[in-house]
Amino acid sequence: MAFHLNEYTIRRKVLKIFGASFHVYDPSGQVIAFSSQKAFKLKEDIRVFTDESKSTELMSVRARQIVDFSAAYDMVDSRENKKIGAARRKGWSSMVRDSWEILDADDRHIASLQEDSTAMALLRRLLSNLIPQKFHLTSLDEREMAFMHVHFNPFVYRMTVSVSDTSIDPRIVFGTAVLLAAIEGRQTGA
Amino acid sequence: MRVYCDCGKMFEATRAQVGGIVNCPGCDQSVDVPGLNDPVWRAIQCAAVVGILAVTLLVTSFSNVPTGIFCGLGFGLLMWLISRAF
Repeated sequence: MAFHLNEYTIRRKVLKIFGASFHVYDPSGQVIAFSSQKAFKLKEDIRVFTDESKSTELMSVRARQIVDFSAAYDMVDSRENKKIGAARRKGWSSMVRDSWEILDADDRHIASLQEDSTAMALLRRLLSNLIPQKFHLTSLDEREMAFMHVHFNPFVYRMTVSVSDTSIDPRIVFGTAVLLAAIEGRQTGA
Repeated sequence: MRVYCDCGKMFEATRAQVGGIVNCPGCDQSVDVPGLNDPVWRAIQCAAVVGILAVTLLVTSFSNVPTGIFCGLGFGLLMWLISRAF
């Protein structure tokens, strides 16, 4: 199951005209999930399937609002039809350094996701995608739970996720990673 | 904000949850919270009110008051139907 791996890579599909699509690979290079963003939707709507046939939906990530500024994104396990958590962008702080609050199903703050450093974040904003982004997912007591890093490639967006602490629901980490690939990947123009 | 689940349970969602998804306390299944709590949504709502007034005044100036009010209400109904799509 895609959610329970400790490491996976999300790669943006090239030559997609409307809406972004991503393949998720396990460390051996096998496709474990396929994600696509619905095109022409006012609110972000990202769906994760078992494969490109889109026959089995695993998860959906949906924005609560149209504007991305301080937007919250709800994650639903499609097999159980149950909300598992949410990610809320911290609008003002994200202008300098991307910061997210990770929430549980009842919108309680359970973890934080941040770009690696303010200096690097500022440099990235000046040099676009030439310096790949790195994110640390930490618990409220500053324990690292997962690390996400974008590979240097000006043409294809590729992000590897390494989960180091399984006390957080792995589906939330997975949904957050897919969301980052869709949202942050678009911001950097990758 | 009142939310009605298909299981028949009615419950309250917070303002921050408007436009999002919550788990029903009755059946524990995900339910959409209707509406949008969004600056753009507020602007659209204001534009819709201005639009209703503009349509009413415009039709009234070319026709009569009842037709103007009827068209204004029709425009408002159309806006409301469009808003349901979100």
